[in-house]
Amino acid sequence: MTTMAAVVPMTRTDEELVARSKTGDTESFNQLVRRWERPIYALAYRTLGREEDARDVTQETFLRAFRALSGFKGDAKFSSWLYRIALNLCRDWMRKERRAPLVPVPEGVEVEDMAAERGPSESVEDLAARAELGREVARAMAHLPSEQRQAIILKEYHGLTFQEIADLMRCPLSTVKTRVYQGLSTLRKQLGEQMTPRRES
Amino acid sequence: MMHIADNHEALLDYLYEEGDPAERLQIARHLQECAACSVAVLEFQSVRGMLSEWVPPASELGFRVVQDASPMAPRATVEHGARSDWWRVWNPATSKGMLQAAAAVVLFVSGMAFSQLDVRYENGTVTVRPRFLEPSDQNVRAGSILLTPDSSNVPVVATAEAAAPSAAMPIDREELLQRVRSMIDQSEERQQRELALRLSQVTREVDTQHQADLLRIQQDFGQQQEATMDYLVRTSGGVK
Repeated sequence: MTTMAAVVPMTRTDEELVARSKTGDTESFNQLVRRWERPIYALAYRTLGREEDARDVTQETFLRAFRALSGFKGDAKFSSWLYRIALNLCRDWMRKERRAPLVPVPEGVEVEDMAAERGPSESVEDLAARAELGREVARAMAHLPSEQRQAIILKEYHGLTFQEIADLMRCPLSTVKTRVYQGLSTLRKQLGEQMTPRRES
Repeated sequence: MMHIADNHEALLDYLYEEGDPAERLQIARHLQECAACSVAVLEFQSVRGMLSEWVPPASELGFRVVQDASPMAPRATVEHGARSDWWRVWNPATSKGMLQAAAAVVLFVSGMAFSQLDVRYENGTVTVRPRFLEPSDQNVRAGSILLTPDSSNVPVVATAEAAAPSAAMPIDREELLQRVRSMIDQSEERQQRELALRLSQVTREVDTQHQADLLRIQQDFGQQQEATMDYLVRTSGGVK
């Protein structure tokens, strides 16, 4: 009888998968894709604000990473390298879009999308309130300068250390902290109205 | 100690639990004494809590890299698992694959007209061939539709590929195991991510609540002290 232990493969580290991918093992690279496509998509979505564009950037990120894999020396983490490729692509995309007359407002998450994540005691009203708050946050984030927005996204949603963000954005540590602080301060003012009822609840 | 609202680096280190632990402890002690700083920290934590509500819409991803084995033009494309992106890779370099796939459609339709299809799965390649063709090796190659990873960008290929298991094509056991493994992998990763997200949310909420409680206790204590002082002043005044 085949047990689950026999079927489930050992989870390989990114470094191991990168090494195997370099030898031409495409399946290993596809494992890296499966592991990182969600975070890269989330990064692109929060940076660009549109699902379709985020998917395109995610696709292009992995294609570029695959093509440039032989040049990846492993000085930084594989994920940091991917993040850098994705951020560069986002920056290029934003440069192109700057010519457009309208600044895209990020799409919100619909209640039905959140329904799958709701807790057992959460009502539909709670879900709707959360969705609305998510939209408020998206709008407030969209108005931040891009450097502040990116620093907050990397810190808040991807859990990078300030030093990792500094390396990624190629700027001093103190600059990253200033960007995060200024961004959070602006958000604190803009989202101030939501803060009071939230605290009371 | 100076107010942490004036020292944003210390504030951020405290908020994100980075930097020197001794300094963070010092800040925690300062927060117990300084209501203004406590309020500031509480508001920043509240902002962080709100940020967690911004969730990207669930999107079908499932990308995979497909390498063209052709020695003439080696290249790689990233395919989308949930939708067809054949139009994305349309360029002169890929037109060969597209033409091959278009030829596949014509042959597939003509094969259907004869209702005589021979479907084979060998060495990772699906071969669909009208039976009226002679089965000599040369002719098979010339008249077959080769569903290589390259031509699988075209929708009709995906259809033929999807129909393959129900046709006379045996599924390779190794391939099946690999699929199951990858599904388990994906499921585990998704669960881990969800668990991490939930844990961070719970931690954040508990932390915020803890700060709020501390602040409330501090305020109550201050009020108690004021009341006691008032009482003492009044009492001592009365004695005099």
